[in-house]
Amino acid sequence: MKLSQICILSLVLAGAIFVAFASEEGGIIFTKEDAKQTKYLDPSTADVNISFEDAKNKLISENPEVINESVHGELIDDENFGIIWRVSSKTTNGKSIFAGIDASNGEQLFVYDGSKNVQGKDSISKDDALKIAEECIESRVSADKINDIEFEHVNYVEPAADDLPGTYKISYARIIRGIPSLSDGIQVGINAETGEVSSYRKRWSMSEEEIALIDTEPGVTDEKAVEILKEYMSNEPSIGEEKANTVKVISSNLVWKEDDEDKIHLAWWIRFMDSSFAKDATYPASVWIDAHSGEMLLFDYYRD
Amino acid sequence: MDERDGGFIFAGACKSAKYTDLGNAFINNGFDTYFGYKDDVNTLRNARFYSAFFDAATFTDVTVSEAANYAAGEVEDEFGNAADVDNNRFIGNSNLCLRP
Repeated sequence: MKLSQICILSLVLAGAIFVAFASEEGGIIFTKEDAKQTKYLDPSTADVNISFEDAKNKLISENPEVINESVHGELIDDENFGIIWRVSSKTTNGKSIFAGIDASNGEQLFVYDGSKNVQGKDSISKDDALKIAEECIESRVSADKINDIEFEHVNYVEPAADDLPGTYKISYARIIRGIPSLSDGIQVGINAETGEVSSYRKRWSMSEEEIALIDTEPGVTDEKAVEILKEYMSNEPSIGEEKANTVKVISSNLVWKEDDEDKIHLAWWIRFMDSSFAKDATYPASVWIDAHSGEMLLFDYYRD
Repeated sequence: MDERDGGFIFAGACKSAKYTDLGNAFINNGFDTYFGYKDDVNTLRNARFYSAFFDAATFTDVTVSEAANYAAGEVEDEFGNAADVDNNRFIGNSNLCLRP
């Protein structure tokens, strides 16, 4: 299907709509050109150590299923990973691979390998998946960084399509001064039917220097943070005091969290539900409150 | 709905793919692929998901299923959990590339 033929629509369902539409009759609404222009860098003028050929060779060497002739790449300034080569390719089994290569040192920061995201005949246990993930990390990450990560959770994700396998998604948090980072860490995807690593992602962007200046002892207790949450909800016209008084806290943990301006905060991450959630609801709301100032950093409550 | 020669539907709403009949209606009318969520989805996490999804899916040769995996990773990084956006379903061709 050519790009000019792509039609991307969204439906109005439960009040949410997202439309991306492109056709011969209509103009392209969602295009790469609409994105922040500064994201895309000119390789001929950018000051990077890794060329496209280097990135391509890295992709090929680490992912044998790549078809050499089909590798595409672009140099971007990614908001999470910094300056990277974003590369993709078709694979020998008719799938695709998508990866990010650090443009300063050539490290493969993320890879989503469709060639490994295929159905198999085995049934991998959760314990086996964890073992495979640990082996994957040991083969990719230096020993000092391994000491800085801590297992967070493993989720089994059911197949997203009739022709795809289930996946174990395993997450490790980066620990800085004894406290986990919300954003930094390692994610590994394990094919639950073959045991192969189908995705890997390492984010390591928080500044230890900046965190060194923040007191790790919270000035605001988690009880006080819950009070701040309830007060905020009470004052929100779409929520109100009645619902706020039904807040049930599921967990509260200290984390390092970046705000919209990339400033790092020590924050209470509170997961909660209220009376608007169904009794069997699976996904709670979250709020992040600065553990020193009591400022609400992010209120993740509404559903589409 | 007019018969089409291909296309991709992104239904970014709670339970938009809990059942398959809506998605199949699009497929039966010529669309390649329908994407939806099997259960509830949080507004902010959904917004982060579809931003990352289309960023990846409009890159050459990236399939919609790999773009969805990438986007869920972005959500996990930002919100600490991506279970709701991960609980998605493709009806039709999950191997579709929006930019082959």
